[in-house]
Amino acid sequence: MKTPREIILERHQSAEAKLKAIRAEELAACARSAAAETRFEPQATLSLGAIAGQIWQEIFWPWRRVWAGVVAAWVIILGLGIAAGDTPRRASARPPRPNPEVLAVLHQQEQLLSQLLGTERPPRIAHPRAPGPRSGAEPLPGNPREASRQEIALCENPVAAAWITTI
Amino acid sequence: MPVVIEEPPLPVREARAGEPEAWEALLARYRLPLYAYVFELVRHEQTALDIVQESFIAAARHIQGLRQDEKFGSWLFNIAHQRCLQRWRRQRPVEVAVDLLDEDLRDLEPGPEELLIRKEQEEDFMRALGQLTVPHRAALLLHLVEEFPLEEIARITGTRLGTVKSRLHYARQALRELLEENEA
Repeated sequence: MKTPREIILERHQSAEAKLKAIRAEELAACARSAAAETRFEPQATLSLGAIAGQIWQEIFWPWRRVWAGVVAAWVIILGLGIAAGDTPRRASARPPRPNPEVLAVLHQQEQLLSQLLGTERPPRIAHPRAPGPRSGAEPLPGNPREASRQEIALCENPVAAAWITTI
Repeated sequence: MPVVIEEPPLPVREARAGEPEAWEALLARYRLPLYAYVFELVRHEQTALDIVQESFIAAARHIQGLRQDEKFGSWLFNIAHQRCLQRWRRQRPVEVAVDLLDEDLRDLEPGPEELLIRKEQEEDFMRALGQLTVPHRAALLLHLVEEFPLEEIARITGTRLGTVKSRLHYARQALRELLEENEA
């Protein structure tokens, strides 16, 4: 009578000779190199040279031909730009002065708009403000109901509002 | 009174330090049981030899990460089991085991030492073992060959404890039926 373990191991006893090909020395060498790597890892410091070296190794060196191509393209572009001699002038910071004729037309249209709205000068659209407390609200000049009606009309007429903001 | 021979402790610490004698001792202890386990799963001599070799090399590379030295055996078998799974995934899908529900199990499974086989039954036993599905065979082999506790078998095969109990129960039952059939 035998245990299953005995039967199974006996059945595979013939493979023992082939299994002896696995060398203990090689395994020990593997373990030693793994131990050395583990010891080395925590000592790794982040020096500037190491970072630069790593960037060079991982980003530039594998794609060196691509980077060389990019550099060559930029050199050609710059060379052509210098050869053409048309370095772009910086645009002046000041905006160009408006044409007096355009200003006259705009003035006429402003007057026309004020006549249409029935006021001397078109009221400027006030910037929207956050609503404050009712007690602190200032009353509109003149007839408050009329003034608010004009503002609403202006807001509803986008052309008029656009003209006013342009002026 | 039965004499219990205690095995000497495994030289895992020395193996971690890279001592060849320690690796020789670990090889002598585990290479044949590991080969038997892998061969019974993959059923191909060269593949089994390759997996055993790869498993020992992987163990040597990663032994620094092993926390419990006494778990070296189950850790090594787990490496080999994973290698077997990798091979199967490349070749064909793994057979699906029919697992019983945990409620169907009784904790009355006999230990490996209680299953004794007569000389004339040895061939039938090996044949019946080969007829089990791979998951059932794996669980039974780990139980019979290395006598790993159920928790260790669960860890090696990457399954739950209940699944291991189920598979062992089913495997034993199937093995018994196959042996009876062969005898008849």
